[in-house]
Amino acid sequence: MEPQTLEAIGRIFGAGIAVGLGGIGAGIGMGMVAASGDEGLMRQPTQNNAMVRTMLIGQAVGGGTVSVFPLVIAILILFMPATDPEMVGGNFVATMIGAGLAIGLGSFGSGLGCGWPGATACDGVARNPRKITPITLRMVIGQAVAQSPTIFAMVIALLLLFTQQPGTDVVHIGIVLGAGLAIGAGALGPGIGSGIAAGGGITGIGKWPQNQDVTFRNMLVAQAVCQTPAIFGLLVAFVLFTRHAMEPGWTSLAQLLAAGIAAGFGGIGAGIGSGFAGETACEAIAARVRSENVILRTMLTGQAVSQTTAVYALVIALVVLYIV
Amino acid sequence: MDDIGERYILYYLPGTNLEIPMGGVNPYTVVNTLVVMAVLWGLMYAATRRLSAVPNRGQAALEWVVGAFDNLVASSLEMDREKNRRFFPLITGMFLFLILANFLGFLPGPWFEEPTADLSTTLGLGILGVGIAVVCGIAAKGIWGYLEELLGPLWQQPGIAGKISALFFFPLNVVGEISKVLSISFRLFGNIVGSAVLLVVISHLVFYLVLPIGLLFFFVFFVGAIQAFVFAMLTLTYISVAIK
Repeated sequence: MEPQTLEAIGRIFGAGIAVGLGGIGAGIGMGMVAASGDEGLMRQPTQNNAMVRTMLIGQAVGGGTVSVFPLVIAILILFMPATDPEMVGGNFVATMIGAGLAIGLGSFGSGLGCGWPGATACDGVARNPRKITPITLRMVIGQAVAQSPTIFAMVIALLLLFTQQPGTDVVHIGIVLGAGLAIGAGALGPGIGSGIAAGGGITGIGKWPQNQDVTFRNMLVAQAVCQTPAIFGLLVAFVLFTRHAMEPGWTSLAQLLAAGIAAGFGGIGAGIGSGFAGETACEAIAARVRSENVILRTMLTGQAVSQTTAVYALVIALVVLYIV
Repeated sequence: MDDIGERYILYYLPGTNLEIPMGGVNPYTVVNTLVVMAVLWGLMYAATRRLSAVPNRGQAALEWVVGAFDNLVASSLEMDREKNRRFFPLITGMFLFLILANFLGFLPGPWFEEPTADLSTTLGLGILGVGIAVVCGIAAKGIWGYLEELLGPLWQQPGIAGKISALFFFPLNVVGEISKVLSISFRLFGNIVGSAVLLVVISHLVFYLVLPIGLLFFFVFFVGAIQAFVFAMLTLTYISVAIK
């Protein structure tokens, strides 16, 4: 094929994947916040201003910020000059698709996850309109923490874009697609999960505002632990970057892709699942501050066990890369 | 692309074939760490130089930070307050160092890299925190008590089934301890590197007009402060889970 045709194919597919996948989660998340805001107005019709303010802040910091990331990457994919326009080949196409997958799947999760704290914050403000400031502040922090999987995905997408290579090389194609899948799919579950955990914390703060400091602290811990699978995905993506010396051939391509798929998709269930553990634990701690320690321990054990699958996936990814 | 992987995971000792895993030695990191330490020391010195019963502005700010962390550590560990003070300097020092290190990205100039944007710093602090948690756990429960915890929750149940379950729980818990180090250090590292890269790219896209200022404040001050707090809180949680 002509280099120009390949270049166009790569740019079109990459930008489409990035914005298409990236928009889904943010759209659903912002809808959740709006639904909860409407429900809150039904309960407190006089609190129009407070409700609308909370809802708009929740939507802007949640879905709004998250959907900017795929937009930036899509613009880069569309307009970034190729290093050598005459030598555009399979590497270029794979790089663009890999970057699109990384940020598309990666921002899907955080966009959706940011809906939970926004929705529960609207709920909390409807329950207790005078507590709007502490609730909104902690909602924004919870959403910002839930966005760190997307930031990881953004790092890998940018690294892929800025290290594009001319020509066609099977190993390079494997590396870029594998890295994109590892961090993209790997950030999907943790994004949703840490959002769910933040939702539980904000629910607790809304219902028991007197315990907000303890609840908030445990909410941050719960969210951070949910993100372990995304960090495994980031680790595998960085490890893949060091594997250029593999011998060229289809076996290497299969190994690199398998490592990316294992580390990425293995983390989805673990991320979402440990989010549920975090959600109920945060609510329970808000209700029973004196049992904080036993609840926290149970939560950490439960999250660790539910992340077993992600650990297995990481082990298999490393075995596939280094031993097989 | 190889050098990016090597920049973050492997680093070659210059002039030799020796590989140092996980980042190696970056002179910028060493110098910037020293800068952060000097600034922190200077701030502490300036704030505590003229202590008085009616505090001046610096002393009041420092008292607020120290009081907040004292309460935090005390409520998280729930032993008597004097005993808690053992962990108070570690957690507070970690938080203050990390927050200043993350804020270093705000200074202009190519020489100022955040020390936390190097995996060596974050991995070192992660190993330190989790190692202290393990040592305190062994000190509090004895070596057998600590091992029993690794053998899983069903170990103490009567019957053979509980003993067999240890075959499943023991490797899981050992990997869990290692993944604690990995996750705590890569989280900080990924967030700080990610913010820095993002900032450079977006500034380039909008030709350095208006937008980067807001983003700079958001990423450097907001994300940096949150991640420093999360790091300190996770270390505190690991310690509190280990010693009880």
